[in-house]
Amino acid sequence: MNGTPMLQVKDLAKRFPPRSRDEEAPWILADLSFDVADGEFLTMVGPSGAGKSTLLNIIAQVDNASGGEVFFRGQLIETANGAGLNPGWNCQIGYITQDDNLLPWRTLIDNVTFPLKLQGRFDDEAKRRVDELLRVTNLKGFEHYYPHELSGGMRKRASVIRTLAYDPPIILMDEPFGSVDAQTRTQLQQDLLRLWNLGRKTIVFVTHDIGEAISLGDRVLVLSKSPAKIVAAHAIGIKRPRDLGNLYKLDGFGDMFEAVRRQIQ
Amino acid sequence: MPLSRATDIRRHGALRRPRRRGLDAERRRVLIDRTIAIIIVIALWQGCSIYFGTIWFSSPWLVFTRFIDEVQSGDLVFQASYTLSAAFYGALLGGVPGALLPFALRRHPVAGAIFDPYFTGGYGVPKLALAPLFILWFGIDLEPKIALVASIVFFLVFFSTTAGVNAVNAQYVNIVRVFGAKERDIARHVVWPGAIPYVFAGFRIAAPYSIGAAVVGELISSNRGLGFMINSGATDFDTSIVFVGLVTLTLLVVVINLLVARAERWLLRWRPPQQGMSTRVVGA
Amino acid sequence: MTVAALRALPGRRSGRRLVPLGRIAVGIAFLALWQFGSNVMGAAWLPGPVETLLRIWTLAVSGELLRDTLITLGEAALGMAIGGAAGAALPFLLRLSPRLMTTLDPLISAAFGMPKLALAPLFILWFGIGITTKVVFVASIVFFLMFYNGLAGILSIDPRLVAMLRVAGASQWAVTREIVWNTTKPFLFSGLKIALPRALSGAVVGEFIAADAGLGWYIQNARSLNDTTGVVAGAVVVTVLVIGVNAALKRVQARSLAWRPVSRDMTI
Repeated sequence: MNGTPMLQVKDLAKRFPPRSRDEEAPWILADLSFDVADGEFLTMVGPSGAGKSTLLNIIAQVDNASGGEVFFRGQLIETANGAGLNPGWNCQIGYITQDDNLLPWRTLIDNVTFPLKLQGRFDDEAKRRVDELLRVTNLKGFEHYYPHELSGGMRKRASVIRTLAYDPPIILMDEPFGSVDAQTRTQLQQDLLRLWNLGRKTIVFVTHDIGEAISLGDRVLVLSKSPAKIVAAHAIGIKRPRDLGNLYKLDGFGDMFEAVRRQIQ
Repeated sequence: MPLSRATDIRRHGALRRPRRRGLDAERRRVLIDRTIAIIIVIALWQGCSIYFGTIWFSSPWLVFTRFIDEVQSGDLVFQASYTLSAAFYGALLGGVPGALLPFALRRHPVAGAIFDPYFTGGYGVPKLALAPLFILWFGIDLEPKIALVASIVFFLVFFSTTAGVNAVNAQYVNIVRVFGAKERDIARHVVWPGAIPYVFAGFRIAAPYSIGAAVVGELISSNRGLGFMINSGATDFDTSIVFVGLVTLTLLVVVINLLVARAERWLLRWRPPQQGMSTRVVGA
Repeated sequence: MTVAALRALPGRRSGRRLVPLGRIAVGIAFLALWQFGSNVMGAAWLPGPVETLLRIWTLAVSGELLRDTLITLGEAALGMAIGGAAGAALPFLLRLSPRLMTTLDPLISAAFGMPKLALAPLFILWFGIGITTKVVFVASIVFFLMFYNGLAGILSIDPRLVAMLRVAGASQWAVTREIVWNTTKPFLFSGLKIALPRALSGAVVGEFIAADAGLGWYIQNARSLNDTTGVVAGAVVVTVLVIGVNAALKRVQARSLAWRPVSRDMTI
């Protein structure tokens, strides 16, 4: 791992769009700063509505910031000016949103291969990679189904491998497992860790579930209420591979959980 | 909302009647009911025919035999194809620009904003009431009917497509942007597929109106077509042919509706099943 | 375009000023094009805006405009009253027998599909070329419109609500008053809103085919005399009338409906 962090966020700030000319718009994010190292699985936890999605939108460059800077691999990214946005930063960023956002008019396989085909990178190696991803997530055999015919968990998995298929070095995840039931969620978390182990990408995982944040991440950042800023950072010492089902039994898990919970208030 | 919902009303509302067992029994019953209804309608018609005289009402039998005659002689097909071609070409001429324009306007929102009141105004103009103007400008043959139909269909398809283009899911656009899509990719892969259901809805609504407009054009000035057939029949007190024309028109509209619905169902098979979709459209 | 959408336009300050200016510019360009077209094609084919206005003025002064307008309006209003009342009432009656509704479903669909305008010659056959014909014609158009809307309202009633009220002991009349009427009311009002311009349009079309007075008659008569200015003048008057009625109705409506073109709100 070289010295330059994969992602650096410095004093990021974002306001709501003003309602009228005289009113001062409130801040969504203020003085947000953190680094993400290459290959790190970083989780961020904060209360709902704290601006977590906004933060990720800015990093992915689908939204612009009101102030502050973002660096990818040491390179400054222009985020303040809407016209200068480069969403996805030339396909170096993966973004897995809360809703699966599979294009409903495309079959499963068409959705998963869509980014690759768009980028003109759908060669044999990519085909093999897609095949492997489908196998690992138990989606083989469902390639020609439309999203509405698949279960929520399957759609979720499909949206994850859609991003993994084009192999971006850094992946942003916005409460990806929030909309599925508890059993599916645990299964998906296991799948995610397994997939992550294959390539050790840099992941920024945002959630409001403290247990999830601690279970999955190398490091947990705690966000405050709006206007959001980092209030604490915890390094997770639990060794990998992790047994998600029994993590809560480990020493120190409960204390960490409690500490984070108090910090979120 | 399909009237089969009424079956639910029946089940819930008729608390006193015993529940029927089995779907087949119910379906058979509905079929019998409908056959009885049709028989009653025909009987009423026959009654009016006898009481008022065939010159005002013709009669079910007369109309039926006349229908067969017209079909066999090829005359009905001839007249119907005239009306249909006016409706079809007009729908194409009006529908295609109506479907494409909102996509162009999407990229130039200022232009869209400028022309917006004019489109709304044009939509509000009663095109059918301007039919003589079309005839004055385009002659008395097929052209004015095509123009009339086109003017009506254009606005219907334009506004429904605009609704579709505006309803584009911003999340899809964002995610596709992260994948590296440029403006053209977005239009092709997100906006267009998302708007197709709306385009279809526009055509589905426009279909009966195209036939209606073609008929109006023929009623005012024509020497061919179903409208002409009905009009000349009325002038000659040939009531049978009037009813033949009316029945044919109804059949045409029903068939077109079915075809468009079928095409829509196939093209949009990716859509989750809709609740309460109205398949019925009010004809002009 | 909504204010919010306008605000969202890029370079919004210049855009905001540009839009109303642009609209005026387009309007002027339209009139200029009209005049230009008239000069090029000749007034016999396309009378210019000035000529048209002059003709309208002449008609207004002579009282012809008022007379014809009132006749057309009268036909539309009467037809609306009759057709509207019948069309609105029928769904309520039909509702009392769900079996009847299911039975008649395909017949109703077919009846909706038939272009009512094709009935005009039949009505002329039955009633002649007097006012009655136009009234019946308009009534038939409005009847189906109100029936369609009323039926949609009836079908949107939640049967569970009805069942709940019946279990509580409410009579059929109470159920009708409480649930049926309130659920159907917005549908009926929506139907009325689009029926009025349709009724006007229908009256005019009816007059095209057979009449001796009214705006539609005036237009058709002018056409047969090759009086292009008359045709265009009449068309302008009808257009202004219908658009005016539309605008007035929109204002009268207390609660504004979100503009949904893919709905029953269709003008022809």
